[in-house]
Amino acid sequence: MAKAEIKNHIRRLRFEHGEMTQQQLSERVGCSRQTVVLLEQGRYVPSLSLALKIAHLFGTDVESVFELDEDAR
Amino acid sequence: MYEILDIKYKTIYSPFRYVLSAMQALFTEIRTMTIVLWSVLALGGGLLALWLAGRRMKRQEPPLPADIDLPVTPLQRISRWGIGVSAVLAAAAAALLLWNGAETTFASDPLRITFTLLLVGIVAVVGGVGIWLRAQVGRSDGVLDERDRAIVGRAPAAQAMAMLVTLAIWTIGLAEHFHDAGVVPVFYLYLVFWSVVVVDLVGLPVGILMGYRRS
Repeated sequence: MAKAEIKNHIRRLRFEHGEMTQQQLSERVGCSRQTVVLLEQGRYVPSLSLALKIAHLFGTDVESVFELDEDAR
Repeated sequence: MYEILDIKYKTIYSPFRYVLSAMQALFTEIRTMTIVLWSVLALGGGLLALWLAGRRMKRQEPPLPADIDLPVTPLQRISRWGIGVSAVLAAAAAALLLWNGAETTFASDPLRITFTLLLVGIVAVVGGVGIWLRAQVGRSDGVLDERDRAIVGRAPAAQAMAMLVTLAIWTIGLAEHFHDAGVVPVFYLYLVFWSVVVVDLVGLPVGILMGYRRS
């Protein structure tokens, strides 16, 4: 249920940051590429720790990367 | 058991006679089943319990788009490897038992030692996977990420049920099979122990692979 309520902009942010690959992102935040794929597909909701790492990597705040789906609010 | 059934049989209404008759036929069938069949049934029952638990855990969401390449994690790879090697060793042990017969296998030292070594191999392989896992779970810089750790944490859920099913099949089977004799040959204890150990150990990597389907 919770999986469908969170959407993210990781894919767009990757391309805005030098077309970073999923592999590069996974290595820099310390997770597997499978986790990155599932994150981008909205199939996995990360922990606060991982969400913060991803946001810091893109130089932004968590709410610019992850947001609550409008339909679910 | 038969006597009790016979007493009830005479006094119970006719529709139940068919049920009691079928039960009597089933117990007669159980008593004539061989050791190999019991081994297969016990291991199969345990693995069936794991499979059923996996069905319940199956992801309800639609499958990923065809163009999405979902890479295999190191944890998935080592779990598949552990299950594969265990399956080969278990098949070899079953073949040894089938080929020579249970009585001969346990009466002959070389055959019994070979049989034991095959099962010890399963313990070594899957136990090795477990040791590796414990080492990795405790390391923040290891190959496991937070999702892997959550999957490992949930993986043992099906193990207890699978062990209980295996033990239940052995207990009912042996009790019925040796009902008249009143004693169970020692090598059955050996098989009960090993089948529970195998189901328990293999249950961990199976639970891990099921976890990836769910999360």
